[in-house]
Amino acid sequence: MSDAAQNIVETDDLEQADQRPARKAKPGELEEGAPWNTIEEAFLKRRSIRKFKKKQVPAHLIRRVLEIGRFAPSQGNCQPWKFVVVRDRQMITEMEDFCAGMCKKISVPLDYTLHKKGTFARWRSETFLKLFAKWRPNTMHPIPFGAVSLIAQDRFKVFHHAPTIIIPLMDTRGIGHPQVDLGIVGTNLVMAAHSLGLGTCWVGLSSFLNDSPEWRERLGVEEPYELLEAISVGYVLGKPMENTVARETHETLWIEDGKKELFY
Amino acid sequence: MALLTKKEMKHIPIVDNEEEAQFGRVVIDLDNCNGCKMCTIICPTNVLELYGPKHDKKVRLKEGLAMCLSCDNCHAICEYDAIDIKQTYNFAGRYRQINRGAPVHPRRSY
Repeated sequence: MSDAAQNIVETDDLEQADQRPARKAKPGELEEGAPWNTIEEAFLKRRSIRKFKKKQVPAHLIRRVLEIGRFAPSQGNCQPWKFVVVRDRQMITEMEDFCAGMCKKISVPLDYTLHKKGTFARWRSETFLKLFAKWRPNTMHPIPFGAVSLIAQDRFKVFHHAPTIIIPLMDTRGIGHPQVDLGIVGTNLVMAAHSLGLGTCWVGLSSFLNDSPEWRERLGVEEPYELLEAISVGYVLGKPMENTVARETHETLWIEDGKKELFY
Repeated sequence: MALLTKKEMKHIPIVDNEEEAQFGRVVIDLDNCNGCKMCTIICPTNVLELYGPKHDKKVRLKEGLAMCLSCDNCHAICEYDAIDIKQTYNFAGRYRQINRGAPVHPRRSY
């Protein structure tokens, strides 16, 4: 008998299959309102962690996380990334100090909240900020602006005293949009770390390091690589990942059967 | 027709002007809050503070410029279900939130 013949199932068997008692639903067959599965729950309960324990994460766990990152999808399978792992406390502190120094330099001319309303200094800062925002509008959003001013006042640290920093470097020669591929590989890293019980946080302000020749050399960032973001990794303090959070619903345009519907 | 006008796209809001910048607001259940301080520790922008007598402390948003991100981490860490976000941040001009609904917890049925 050939292999193909073995795979043929008789019609009677299929009819019987329909009458069997309820079995566990396969993914894709779930009814509306079914409980979250393990992976969905992991995505819902992941938090950005900004308070870490001092204890260092074992090296094999970080290697395991990087191994999952390696299998992220990328455009044309170009895999435009390279990882830098920093586990040296002294160096992390120096990186924090450097970024805090840059935040201070930026906030001196730009942070108008330091000056009283109606003064000349206030007017000058506001005008300067508006000019700066024309050049780089995304970085001047009020939220990162607030973070920069908090860091400048030493009210928090850029890398949140994490014991390990993973920096995915982007290969600028990547196909299409390598920034997106870097985001995907980062998500793989973050979710893998979350599944191991580690806390992570994306650190966008680490891009100051990319503009400094000294730090480019120390972190091995050379042409054609670029440092866009870093991910702090460490053991979580407290239990922030037990519950889910509320998030805004986003407008979705649903196009089906020639009709367009909006829902939230 | 664009969602934001050209004039709006050029307008950069001022953070400490209440008409141009609204930050997140939290709602606190004072019966459930026991002042355990976890939310003030976890808060990324450090906008929560304790107040009240020594053995009956409650949490609240700081007065003045409290730049709450409405990240809801305080709700996630609270073991007593005493805090949740009521309002998310929104700004005037270029950074106005568009095409968004109210904050909702994960839904399984619609």
